[in-house]
Order: sequence, then C-alpha cells, then structure tokens
Amino acid sequence: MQLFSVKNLFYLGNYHQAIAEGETLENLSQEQELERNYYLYRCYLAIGNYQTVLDEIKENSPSSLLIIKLFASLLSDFDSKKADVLDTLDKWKKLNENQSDEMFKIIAAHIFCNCGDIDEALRIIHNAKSLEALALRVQLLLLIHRQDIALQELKNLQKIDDDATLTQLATAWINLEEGSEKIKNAKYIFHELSEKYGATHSLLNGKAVCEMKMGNFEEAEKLLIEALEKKPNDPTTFSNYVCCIQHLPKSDELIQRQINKMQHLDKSHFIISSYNRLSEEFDKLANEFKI
Amino acid sequence: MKIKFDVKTKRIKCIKFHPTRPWIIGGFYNGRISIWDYRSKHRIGKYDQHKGAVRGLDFHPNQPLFASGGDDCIVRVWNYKQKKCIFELSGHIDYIRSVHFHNEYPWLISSSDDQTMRIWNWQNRTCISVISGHDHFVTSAAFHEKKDLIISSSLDNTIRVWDITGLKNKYFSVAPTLKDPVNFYTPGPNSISELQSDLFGSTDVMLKFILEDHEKGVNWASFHPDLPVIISGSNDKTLKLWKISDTQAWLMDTFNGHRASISCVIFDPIDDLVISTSEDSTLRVWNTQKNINTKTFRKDGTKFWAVAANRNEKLFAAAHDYGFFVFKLQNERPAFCLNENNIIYFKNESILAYNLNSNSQAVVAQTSQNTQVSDILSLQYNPYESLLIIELQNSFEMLSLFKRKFSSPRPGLGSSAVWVSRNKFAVIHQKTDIFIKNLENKITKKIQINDELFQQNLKQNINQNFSLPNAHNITRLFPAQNGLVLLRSASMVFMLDIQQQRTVAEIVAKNIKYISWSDDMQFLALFNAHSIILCDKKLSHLCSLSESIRIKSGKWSKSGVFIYTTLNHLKYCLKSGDTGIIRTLEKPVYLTTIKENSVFALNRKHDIEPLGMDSTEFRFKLAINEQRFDEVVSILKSSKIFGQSIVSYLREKGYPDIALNFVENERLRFELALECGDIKSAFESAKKIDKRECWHKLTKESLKLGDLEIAENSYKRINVSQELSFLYLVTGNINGIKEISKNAESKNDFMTQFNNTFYLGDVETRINLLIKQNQLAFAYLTAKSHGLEEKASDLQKLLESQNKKVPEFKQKTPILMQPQLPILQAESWPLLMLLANGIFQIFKISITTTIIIIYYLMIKFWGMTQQLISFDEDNSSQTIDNQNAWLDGVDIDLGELPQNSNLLDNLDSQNKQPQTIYVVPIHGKFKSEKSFESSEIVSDHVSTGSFKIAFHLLNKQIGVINFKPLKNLFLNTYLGTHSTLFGFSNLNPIPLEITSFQTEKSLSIPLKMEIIKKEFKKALDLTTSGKFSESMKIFQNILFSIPLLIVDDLSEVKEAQKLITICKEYITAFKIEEERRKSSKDIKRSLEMSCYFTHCNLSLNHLILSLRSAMFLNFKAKNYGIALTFAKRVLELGANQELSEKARKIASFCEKNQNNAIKINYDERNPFVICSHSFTPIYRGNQKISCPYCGASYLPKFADKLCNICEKCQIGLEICELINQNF
Repeated sequence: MQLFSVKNLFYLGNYHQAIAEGETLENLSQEQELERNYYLYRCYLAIGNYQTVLDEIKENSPSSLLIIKLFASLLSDFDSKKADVLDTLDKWKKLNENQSDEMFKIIAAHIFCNCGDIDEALRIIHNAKSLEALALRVQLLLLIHRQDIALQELKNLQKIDDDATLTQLATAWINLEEGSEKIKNAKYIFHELSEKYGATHSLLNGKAVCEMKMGNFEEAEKLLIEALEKKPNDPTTFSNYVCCIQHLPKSDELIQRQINKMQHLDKSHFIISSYNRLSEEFDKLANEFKI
Repeated sequence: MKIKFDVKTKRIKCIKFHPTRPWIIGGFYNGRISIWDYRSKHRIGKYDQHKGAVRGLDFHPNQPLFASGGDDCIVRVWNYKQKKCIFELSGHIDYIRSVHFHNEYPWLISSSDDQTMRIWNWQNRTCISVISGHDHFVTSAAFHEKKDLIISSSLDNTIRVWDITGLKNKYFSVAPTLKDPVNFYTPGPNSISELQSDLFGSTDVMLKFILEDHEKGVNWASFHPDLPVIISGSNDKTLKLWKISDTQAWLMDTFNGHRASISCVIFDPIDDLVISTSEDSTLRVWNTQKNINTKTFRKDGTKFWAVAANRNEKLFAAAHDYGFFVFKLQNERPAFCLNENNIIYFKNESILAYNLNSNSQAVVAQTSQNTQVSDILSLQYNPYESLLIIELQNSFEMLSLFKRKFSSPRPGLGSSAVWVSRNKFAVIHQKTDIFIKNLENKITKKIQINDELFQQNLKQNINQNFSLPNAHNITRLFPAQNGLVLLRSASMVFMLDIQQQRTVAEIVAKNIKYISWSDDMQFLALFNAHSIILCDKKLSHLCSLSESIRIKSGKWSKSGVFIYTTLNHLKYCLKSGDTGIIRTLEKPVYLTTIKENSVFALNRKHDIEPLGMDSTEFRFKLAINEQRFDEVVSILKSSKIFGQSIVSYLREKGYPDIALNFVENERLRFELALECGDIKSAFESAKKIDKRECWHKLTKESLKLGDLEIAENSYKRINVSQELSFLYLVTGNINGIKEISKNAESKNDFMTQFNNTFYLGDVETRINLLIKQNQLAFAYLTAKSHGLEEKASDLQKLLESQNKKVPEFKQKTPILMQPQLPILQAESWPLLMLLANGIFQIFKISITTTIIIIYYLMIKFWGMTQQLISFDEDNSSQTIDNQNAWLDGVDIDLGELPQNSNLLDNLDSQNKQPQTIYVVPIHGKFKSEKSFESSEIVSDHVSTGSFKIAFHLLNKQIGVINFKPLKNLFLNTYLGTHSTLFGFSNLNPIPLEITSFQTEKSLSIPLKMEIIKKEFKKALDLTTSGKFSESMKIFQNILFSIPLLIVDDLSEVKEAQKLITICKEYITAFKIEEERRKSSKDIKRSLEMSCYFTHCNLSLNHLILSLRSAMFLNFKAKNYGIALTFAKRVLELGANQELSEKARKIASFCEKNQNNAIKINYDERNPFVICSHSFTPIYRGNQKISCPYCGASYLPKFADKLCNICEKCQIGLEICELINQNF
C-alpha cells in the first residue's frame, strides 16, 4: 500500500522524499521488498548517487536489481563502460527473453535510450503491459517525434487507469506536443499534481513550459527560478530558463552569460548538445559564404 | 417531509403552535397539558389541573395566555408566565371539544358535546353567547381570522357557518381597536340583527350556511385564512373543500384516500395544500389545485388526532397516540455553491450568480421545469468547464453556466454527484458502487463500495481500538481535493483516493450532513444539526463542539476561523475549539461566503443577504491562539469591546499579562498581576485596595519571587513586626531590626524587642529587658550563660536582696554564642518569570529557537552544498554521448525504413518466440520542422536549427555574405524556441518547441517588433547625447535583427523598411564622423566630411547638430561661402535661439565675404549621395551601385565587396526580396 507513495514520489521527481519514505517501510512481503528496492535504487540513480547502487546491489540479486546496477555503472562512467554495458545487456537480454520481467525491461530500455538507441529501447518494452512501461513508451515515442503513436499508447494508459499519476503526466506531455487549447489541460495537470503531492522541480518545469507555450514568459521565469532553487544546475531546468529569458527584456550580456553557464552543465543534454552542434555548424557555414 | 422534533409521550388529542414563540402546546388524553420549545427541544411547562382528556387548546395571539377545554366540561384560561390557571369558565354540560381565541376581541369560543358552542368574554369572564343549532356533538368551532364568522362542525354530518356581526355590534358598537373601520361600521346587517334579536331573543349569532354533504359526522372544519374556502374532514373518510360567498356556499371538491375517520384537517397557510390526519395511521398532504394526495406519511399502529400549522416557519405538528412530532413539508435549505466571486444559487427554476464585487446578480442558466427547490440537495460547480452539477435525490443534472445561450440540463442517474477533478465526477450507483464519470457522462472507473473487500479495506485502515459497526454503508459523497472524495457512513467519514482506489484517511464523525472546505482546501469542517468537527485536510481531528440549537450552515473565513449559523445565532469556532457568538439572527440563514467584516447569506426566500459582523473578538482570540502578539496589541489599541468574558478567556489561556492591560477593577488587576508575576503592578493595585489579605498575599508572592523591597514594604503596611524582623534577619538588615526594636520600645512591645535582641545578639539589652519586666531569674541565667559574670553577680545580688532564689547554673562555662553578624546585606533577587507562557517568555524562546534553527540550517546547508558539489562531480563525470543518437533520429527522412539489420534481428527472434514482429516506428521530426521545410521565411529555419537553409535564403534574399555578426542572434533564436520536459528520471527529456500561442503555426520567435523599436529609441537617445559608437552598435544590431523578424501585417513591413533606411542613414553618418576624426590633420578631408554629414537623412535635432558643427568648422577654416549655406540651413530649420543667433551672425558676416579659403569637394546645389566606402559624393547622373539590403550607395568599383554599413551583405548583388511576412 505505502509502496504507492514511493512510486508516486519517484514519478513526480521527489526522489529524496521517496527514499525517505521507502526506507521506513516495514512488514513488506518478499515481492514488495523487491519492488521497494527497485524504486529506491532508481531514486538513487536519479539523484546521481550511483555508488550506493553499485555497492548495495549484490551479484546474487534478482535480475531487476542487477540491471539497475548495470545502469548505474553506465551512468557512473559512460564513455568507458558503454561497450561493456551493451555487451552484458545483450547477454542478459537473451537470458531473459522468454520472461516477462517488466521491471527488467524498463531499465533495459533506459540503458538503450541512454546509449542513443531508442529503437532498441522501444523494441524491448514494446509488449510490456504495466502502466510504467506504457508511459515510458509514450516518452520514447515523443523522443522520436511520433506523437501520433504516442497518442494511441496514451489511450491504452487511460483505459488502464485514467487517474494514475503516470497517465496524467503522459497526458500532459502529449498535450504539450499538441499545443493550442490542450496546453491549458497540461497546465491543469501539472497544477493538480503539485497541489496534491507538492511541487517538484520536474512539475515546476512542466508548468513553466506550459506558461512559455502560452506566451507568459515572466510567469515561466518565476517557476523556473523556483525549480532551480529546488535542484540547482539541473541541465533541463537551466536550458528551459535560457529559453525563457530569450523572450524577456534582458541584456545581451546576461543572456550570453547564462548560455555560457548552460554549456558546461551536461553536454549530452538535448538542448545543450544541439546548441554546441549548431554553433559549430554556424561557424562552418559562415566560412563557406565568406568572400 | 422532514421531522424536526419527535416526542414520545402518551396520547395527545390536540396540539397548537404559539403564534410567535418557538413553542408547541399539547393536550393529553390523561388531562395533562405540556408546552415544549421545539428549537431547544425541551419541555418548558406542564399543567395538570384538568380531570379527563384535554381536547381543545389555544394560545392567545398576543397575551401570555392559553385556554383549554376537556372532558371535565370546564374551560380553563392559563397564564404561562405565572404558570397557573387564572380562571375557569363553567357552563358546558358535556365534554368540550375545542377552544379558540378571537384574534381581536376578548372572546373565546368553545364547542361541546352538549350540542352547543359558547362564546366567552375572557376579560370579564362571562359567557356572552350560547349558540345552539347542531343536533349532535359539536366537534370543532373557530372564529374567522378576519371576518365576523364562525365555523363549526358536528357529528350531525353538517358544517355550519355563523355570522356574529350582531354579537359584535352589541358589545362593540363603537369599536376602538378595530383595524378595518369600514367593514365594522357598515350599518347593513346591523338593523336586521337588532330586529332579529328583538324578535327571536338571542340572535346575536346568526346561522349563515349549513354545509351538508358528508355522509357521517364531521370531525373538523377550518376556514382558509385568506380565501373564501372551507375544508372539512369527516368520519366518512373524505375531505371536502367548500367555497363560500356572501350569500352562498357550495361544495367544490371531495378528496378520497383516507381509510378511516379523519380527525383533523387544516390549510397550509402559504401553499395550496391541505394537511389531514386520520385514525388510519396516516397523515396526508393534498394539493387543492390538482386534487391529488401528494404525500402520505404513515406511522403504523397509531392514530393521528390533530394537526397544527405554524405560519412563520412553515412548520407543522401532528399529534398521535404516542406523542407528537413537528415537521416540515419540504427542505427549505437553499442550494448554492461558491465560485471565486460568484455565489451560484437556485431560485425560481433558474440558476443565478451573485457577483460579490459588483453586488449584482444575473441569471446564468435555466433548469428543467420539473426541478423543485426542495428536491435539490446541492449544487457543485466546476469552474474549469463552467459546469454545474445539480444533485437531486437519486439523480443529477449537468448544466453549463455563463453561456450566452442557455443550454438545457443533461440528466444522469446516480446519487450524491460530486466533482473529483476538473473533468470527472463521482456518483454513488445503487448503493453498491462509486462510478467515476467523465464529462460525457461515461463511466471511466467503477469502485465497489459496500462490498466485503472494500469494507475490509476500510477496516484495515481504522485504528483497531475503535469498536466499529460491522459494515460501513456509504451513503453520501462529499467533495475533497483533486482526485479525492469523501465518503460518509453513519459513523465515519473516509477519504478515498480515486487513483489508488483505497481510503487514505478517516475520521470518526457521526451522521455528517454537511461539509465545508476552507478556501485553500487545508481545513475541513464536518457538521450536522448539532455538532461540528474541524479537521485538517488529512482528516486529523482539530476540535469538535456540539450545539443544542440546530446548526444551519458554516463557512471558513480567510483567516481560518469557522463561522457558522444556528437557527438564531451567527457564531465562530476557532481551530483550538474556542467558540463564541458573533451576533443574533432573526431568522435562519445559510452562509455562502465571508468577506472581512460581513457575511453573505442566503435566506429561505433564496435571496442574498449581506450581514454585518464584528470580527474583533475572534480575531483577537485567533491572534492569541496563534501567538501573534503584535496583532493582539493592535486590536487592544483599536477597540474597546472587552468585557469579563475576554478577561476570563485570557486567564484560562494563560495570558493574564494581556488581560492586565485592559482591566480596571483593582481587585482583578491585583489577582491578574499576581498570576503573571507582575509584582510591581500588584503592589500598585494593593496600595489602592489596601486590605490586609492583599498585603499578605502580596508579601507571600513577592517573597516567592524574591522582591525583598516590596515584601518589606508590604510588611510595613500591615505592621507585622515579627515577620518583618525575621525578614530583616535573613536578609542581614541589622539596621532594620534595630529600627523595629526602637519602634517596639516606643510602643512597649516587649516580645518584639526581646526577639530582636536575639536576632541582633544584643545580650545586654536582652538582660535589661528582662530586668525591666522583672524577670530577674531569667536575666541572671541569660547573663550567666553568655558569660557576663559581672552582670550575673549584680543580678545575683539583686535577687538575693529581694529574697528570691538564685537559679542554679549548672554549666561551668558559658554555652551560648553570639549570632554571627552578616557581612553583606541581601538585595532583591532578579525576578522570576512566573508563567511559562507569558509573552516575553515566548519571545525569549522564539529567539533561542530561531538561533537554533539558523544554526541547524547552517549545518544542513553546509552539508548540502557539500553534497551538491559531489553531485556535480558525478554529473560531470557522466558524459553520455547520446547526442549522436539524437541527430541520427532527427536526420532520418520520412520515407526511410528502420535499419535493415534491426529488421533482420526481429525476424530472427520471431523464429524463437511466436510473437508478432514489432516494427519500430519511423522517427519523426519536430512539427514545425516538417511544416517549415519549404518555407522561405528565414527565421523559420533559424528557429528549427536548419541553419544551412537559412544561410542560403539570406544570401539569396538580401545578399548576406558575412554571417559572423548574426551568430548569437541565430543561436538565441534557436534556444528561445526549444525547451525540454522531464519524463522519467535518467532518461532523455522530451524536447518541445515553443510555439506561439496565438498562431500556433509558427514558433515563438523571441525577436519582436516592439523590442526592436525600443532598441531603436535607445539608439536615438544615445545619439543625442553624443555616444555615437554605442548607438551605432545598436543600429547595426537592428539591421542584423530585421531579417529574422516576423512581421504580421503590411504596416509592419513598411515600418521595418523604414527602420532599415533610418539605420542606414545613421550608420553612414557615424561612419562619416569616424572618417572625419581619423583625418583631423587633413583639414580638407575633415571639412568635406563635416559637410557630407549634414546630408545624411537624420532626424531634425540631430541634423541641426550636424549643421552646427559643419557651420562652425567651415567658418573657422574661413570657408565663409560654405559656412553661409549651413547658417542658412540652420535658420531655415529653426534651431533654438542661441544657435539661431550665432547662425545669424555668421550669415551676416559671411554674406559680405563669400570666399572659401580651402577648396573642398562639396557642391551643395548639386544633389548627391555619398559612397559609403570611399566617403565621396556621387553626384546625380553618375553611376552608383548599392547594398541589396540596407540600400547604402557605393561607387561601382566597390562591387562584390562587403557592405560597410550593414556589415553583412555583398554590395551590388542581384537579389530577390526579403521574405519575412507571416500573413
């Protein structure tokens, strides 16, 4: 029962509280214990505490935890571990092929996605049935700009449980993609969730994006600053902040300073990597046109 | 039908309401008469004088009297204030069936089984008329309220109407109190009745009509108070409705339905209803218009005997074999709900909204015609969708509000409909399920309640210590926060999380009927008619209270005080449980909202009534409770309302120090001061009171607290030298003791002096004292024991001389020592704070706690930053190189299939597992990227990141070759149109484009015309103040920006073009100025430049400035001819006075001497443009080329070079037009 709260907090991005609540849970069955640990370790990953995960998960743990460990090793040292991790994953995948361990598959999809192989990520969870897998599919489909299919997935989600936090979040994501009147709906969802479970940096970001899409950049700036207070130097929040201040009467110096700051946060982040790529591209093109 | 007050007693034969008070009187079969207050539900009187059944009762309309009649054949008149029978009226010779007061004359009518009626004057206690005519028992008799008529019914199957005009004229020929003189002075029947009375004797009362149609005896007949109709009930089981006119009476209707004799029947004074009671155990309500039995109330095993109506409150009462009950025919609670500044309520088949800001109301929707006010249980408004749910008994209606055209309501089935989120609501379906429905009334979720599983679920959550009823039958839903709903069972209220389908909180609360959430949804009040429970949003109990008077409604104020109404009071309840009355109410009202010092309430006529209230008291208590002492002080300063109750409240709460501030009674002040340890104030008060016991108390307290001075002072006041000297002793005040001794000496107080000698160790004085008192033996022993041998021997001699026995002193050496003299005298101790919760104490605590908190935070923060730093390190080490993946994804074209190898993999795996092949969907693109593919608008491609296309377009459209200055603009535009959204943690965030909300087609480009205009103005201002280089930068920026600007209409296109030209002119001017400064040594060139400068198309004030400098420079260089032209131009343009003056002087000087000292390349009369590269004039007719974008002119030899002005375009390039229109 209380596991609900842990999962919910995890989905909403309130990782510290999820850990705090998860650690105090008692009288769990073996199954629940596993599930609790699964989410606890994911929370640790989310707050960047990879070492705890690497230390705590033993080799004889169930596959759903082992794969988190694998994920942790990837996250802790991406460049050098990438090949190994993919190798291991490939082996494990074959071992687990006939099983329908969705907890395993979800993390496997995370790993593939992190390694840039969204196709493989989609493939591994394509027939998973859990709410979380469905919501993950929505996110992956949105990553490859297929909101049409994502919308179908969302309908499945809504059929399972329309009130679930994940369904609500996925609805908001798709609403934001759809734009226009649907943005209001997304805004309500983020608003409702933060009313109900407290504002987290990710909900604040969601709200801010809604405001930006509605043209209220001052409002968005406030929300983003609040989000940055909750989680300073978060690349997503920061890049959204940079996006936002472009629309506000700020001095060029300030904007440029924030962009410089952003560039050093996380080079793999979509916006930041695009920025760097475009910047290079620009220089190259500018040279081509020079006489 | 709503039963308001149910009393179980013995058989009651008759019942009546008090005309004004909330009282009801009943006459028992056993002879007792009782009066109850149906609001407070208490019996307030009983009268036991009748022997045998009491069958008739009536209150006097305005005197504190009531009359009764019964089987003992005596009419008794009672005074309920004196609580006794004041007289008896005898005359009837059989059971009395009914009594009735006339509402104006001092008359009383009684009907009896002796077949007569009697009219009595209760003032002089005589019978003024005996009316006979009926041939059987007269079962009822009553006066008409307005006319001079009497109605009577009898077991002789008739109803008779009598005219009493004669009687009236006999006694009131001049009627001083009559309200309607015209009627009463009409002489018409007067003479006839007199005549009749002469002829037939007693004809004061004339039979007017006999109504015959009942087949059996008639038990009751009543007039309608306003209409000329009569209703009668009979043993033949029918009701008959009769109509009367001045001359005629006829039967209108017969109501069949009762299965046994009808005992009583009355009109509903307000609606067109008739209520009848019968011996068939039913009470029936009839609609006289439609001639139908609308409601039947059955109470098996009993017979109904009487029914009465209370006009003021729409209340009725019915008497039966086992007591009586007071009831309402319908719900009078107005349905309403609140939405921000609108009170939405129901009136006259429409939904109204009352705007609190404008204090006006408007019809916002129409309900269906069948919807009755009394059927509506609640209104639930959903502001997001402007949808109202009208909750009915077992169904609901959905209605759109605030629409221009009223839509008809959409009905739905299910009880207790409440909103659970902005697009879903919950209903109870057939007591077994909760259905969650969406706006289309489609079920999205079913939650079984009242089944075993759910009950277990309920029980699991409940504290085991409670003994619970076996099942919780969920009978009603109440709204809660989003995604939650409150379930009510008979003894509990649960909070159900719809997502989890389980209860998340519960509270023990019996039979809750209404709830009220605070505006911020943090607090909840649950209440029913007699109790209120306040709890927070997690249903944790805060306080409960009970009310003996019915609670009608309640609402949270903004400050978190629960304000509620009872039948007659407006009250408050703080979260701490403190309650109090704010004001009295004349009639019941229903609170809708609270605004600072007034409340808005709906009354039973469904009108909004603003009521003023004085919130000082509860604000004060709230401030005390929340320990906001600054507010306490400000309230204390601003108002003077406080009485004893507040003082006792403050003492109870432990704030005597605050109470001290506004108490004037010294005695109380003294007590309060002692309570809070304010010894100084206590002393002041004690001085004023000056009573012994006060001083005693004060000394006690001051000693306890260590205030020696006051203790000393108060001892002195009451003159208790013993205590005082002891105090001096322990504090070491030798002088004090000496002083007391001196005083004692003067007063001959031997004991005090003696004691003090002990304290002081003054043996000699002691011996002297003893001698003085003639206690020589004692004195001798004293001297001896202190070793004062000399004195001892003197005393021995003295004793011997007096022939007294010298006591034997056994010790060899003196044994008593002197007391030690104190070194330091004690002073008052620092005063203790007596009360733990005195104001200052709290301040102290809060200060220390703040310090602790700050300290704690510091530690925490420091720890956190460390943690954060470590996070950062982790993050930076995590260099995931997935951007390539991204780019791949983006770059794949629409038609491209997934990679073949993957497909093959899939096929391979298919062999192993018989699953359908999953084909990974083809990667898509950003929406705008797709739609902008063929766009010719540069900014479209910039914002989507397709820089290559943007470059080509710019090159093609305006000939840009130098892109460098555009870099930030490009990148910022891209950044400003792209955001990301968090999905799952540790996963790539979802990229989103910031589309413009209005058009939705295009992206929201940060660059806007207004921004550019603002920049432009700034540049002009900078120019005026001479900061050329800075303003030039801005002008150039504007030139850079305009190609990326999206213009919305033609006027903006023109504006943009104008801007380009102006920028070009200014930049050219600045460049010329730059050139002039560079060539300051070359006077000719510098003069030329100053001349060219004046030919840039600048704004007037700038132009004058340029002319001024050109004029002066040429004048100085003695180019008088040219200077003259400039002077003329200055004068033409109308410069300020000073400059004009100078120009005039120069002009007059130069006119005489038009020689130019230095020959320069400047011909004012020949029109020219300036080559922006060489800064030489290109006179008209000469060949020139220009910049394709800004239009700056150049000599042909500069073709293909970079434009010097806009610094980005290729001079002389053939181009197509810039496309940036978006319309």
